[in-house]
Amino acid sequence: MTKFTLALLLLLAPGMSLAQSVEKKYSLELTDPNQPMSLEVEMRNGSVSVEGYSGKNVEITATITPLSQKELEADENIHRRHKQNIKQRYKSKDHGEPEKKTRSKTGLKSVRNATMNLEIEESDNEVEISSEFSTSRIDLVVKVPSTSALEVELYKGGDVIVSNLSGPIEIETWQGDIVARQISGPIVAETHSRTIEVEFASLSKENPSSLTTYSGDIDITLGNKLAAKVNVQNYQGEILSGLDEEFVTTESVKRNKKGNKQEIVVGGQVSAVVNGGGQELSLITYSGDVYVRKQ
Amino acid sequence: MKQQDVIDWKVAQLSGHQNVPMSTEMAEFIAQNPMVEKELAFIESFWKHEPENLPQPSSQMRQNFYSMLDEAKAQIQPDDVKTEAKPRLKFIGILSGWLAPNPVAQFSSLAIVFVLGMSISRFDVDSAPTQPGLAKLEQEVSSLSSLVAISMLQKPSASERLTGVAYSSQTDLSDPNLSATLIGLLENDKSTAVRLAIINTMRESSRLADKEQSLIELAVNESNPLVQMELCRLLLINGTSETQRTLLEQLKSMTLHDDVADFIREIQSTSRA
Amino acid sequence: MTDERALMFDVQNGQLDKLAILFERNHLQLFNYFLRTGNNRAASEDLVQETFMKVLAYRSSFSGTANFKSWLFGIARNTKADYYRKSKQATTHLDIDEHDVGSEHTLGEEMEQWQKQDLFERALASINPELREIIVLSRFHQLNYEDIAQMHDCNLNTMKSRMRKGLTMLEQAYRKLAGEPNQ
Repeated sequence: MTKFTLALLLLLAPGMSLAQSVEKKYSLELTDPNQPMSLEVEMRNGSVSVEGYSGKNVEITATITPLSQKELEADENIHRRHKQNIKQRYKSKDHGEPEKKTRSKTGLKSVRNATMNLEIEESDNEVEISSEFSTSRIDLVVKVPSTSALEVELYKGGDVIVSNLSGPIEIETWQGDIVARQISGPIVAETHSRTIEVEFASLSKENPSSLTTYSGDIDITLGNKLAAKVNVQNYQGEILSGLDEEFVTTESVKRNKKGNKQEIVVGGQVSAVVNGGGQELSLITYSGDVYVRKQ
Repeated sequence: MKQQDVIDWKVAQLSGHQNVPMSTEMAEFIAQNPMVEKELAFIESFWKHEPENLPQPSSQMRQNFYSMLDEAKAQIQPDDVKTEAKPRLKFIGILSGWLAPNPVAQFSSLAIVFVLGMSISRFDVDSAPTQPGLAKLEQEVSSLSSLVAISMLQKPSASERLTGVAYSSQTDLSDPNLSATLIGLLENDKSTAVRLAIINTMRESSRLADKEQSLIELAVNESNPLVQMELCRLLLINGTSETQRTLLEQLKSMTLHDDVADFIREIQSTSRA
Repeated sequence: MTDERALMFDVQNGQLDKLAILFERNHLQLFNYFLRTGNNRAASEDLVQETFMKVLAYRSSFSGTANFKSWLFGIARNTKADYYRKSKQATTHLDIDEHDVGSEHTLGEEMEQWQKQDLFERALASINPELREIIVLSRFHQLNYEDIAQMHDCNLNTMKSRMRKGLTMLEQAYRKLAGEPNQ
């Protein structure tokens, strides 16, 4: 097991806005380089770029840039809203959270704002990079063996770019684009307000794939021989398809209990069976457009 | 070059799985090993030999098949067919994937049920296979699917959980454990895709009634607009009129996300039309 | 010719009539498979029927990742295994002298007339049933090693070496029957 902890104490004078970026590089050896590995990234601020390569080590470059006071405040607001959302989610009667006592803050200042942590840990071929509470943004560039599995979670968001990976991929970011090229999935990716762009070299048959964005566009390109059932659920946007196969409505007509047919136009699902059909690939967006391209 | 490689090559050629000319290396190897050459000649003669007078099945076999098909058609009403929701999954593949990393307790319970299922499915030699046989098999697939579904739904990977949801839709959701697992995930899963897929599965189910109360609560408390919209749609279209009334009343007293409010208005106007 | 995979997807989506096309195209092959793997005509007919019933019952488990034929033969093989278990149980209640099913389902005395006339078939009928099955699937049903390996739940290399062993046994049996000297 290998573990790096990078704890920087950044003494920022109030109002100081121009901060210096710091670049750090790490090279990690895996416990068993001949076995597939998984990479998990969990961060608050920043971006992640993961590239599959033919090497056996994990090469990490982290660029750390302290946030400006303005960014910190904006970040604090998002953080508060995120917490509220979670609270609300669990608010049902069985999951009631005990009320927090209001405590006096007189004479105290927040220390969280002055430190940052970046942790990199390897154990049994599972690599974890995490930095949850930070006053800096961290831009990560990671090279991993191309068969690796990947999981990225960015709480605040930032872009996630992935390329040349044949393992399963899971990405969650809030305000960032997701771009994946030369992957085969299964991929489950989600962003709130930004675009998802994926180029599939092939599509894993093991498990379904799904791309979800609330208000961003989804743009996918399918490899020539790729077989899939592509489902699109969009509510307001358009679907632009370059497939030879037709998209057909699958859910616009539903029966209710009395057997009356009812047509629900908005948010209907359409599907196309590509190259005879295969695993499901679902594309979901509320107000974005959906582009389906063929290589 | 090994003898095995030469034989593999020969069989693949003869079976039409490949059309690769013999390499020089292979030709040299064969030339040096007359035994291999003889072996190849035998394989070729066996492959090219067309057996004569192969017996034909009786016309009774065809009749039996068509009467089984007729019974199946009568039993499986087209209305019941979930055209789009049927997952196309490889049963054995899922099972073997399932077996490896899970807790021992789960493994043994599935193993027992699996064995039971297999012995139930064993057909009766004495009696001609008829409708009950098919019904039994269908039932077996359903209970096995419930178990596999629950286990898949507990996986850490969202994609595997999606497989679990797809499996759930193979059953009628009558299994209480499966049903509880689905509701739990619908409430808490971090992936929106998984939550929406669960709602789609419930839409296909005829057994919504006993879940409607908890679904109303979820719909009202939901903070993710996509999930809230789909929950409302599910209840407003498939729910009882009592459910619809309760939900609309509760929503009225809340401040909704603009998109959600629009969506609900649209559903109401279409379903009234 | 419509793709059998597409037909099976149609069956899955409720067009049960399409199963008839799949039956017409494959029943003879299946029937022969059951015959060659050690069953008499009556049992082979029952097994074909049972296989198609399972195709219907398990229709939603067809994923299309494997081709239809290897999926079909996978079901056929399981059906056969169930049948053997069942008949083994049945025979324990019978007088052994009166009805000997044979523990390994080698054909022995029960070999049918058509097989007796053909040296290759006779040789095939005489070898180890596991190895015989592999040869039958490859030679008569054009399944590739990958499909057969998956069906037998073993890796590709194991399958290759079993195939080779089977072919060697077949050749020896054939030469013996043909009166040629054994090598």
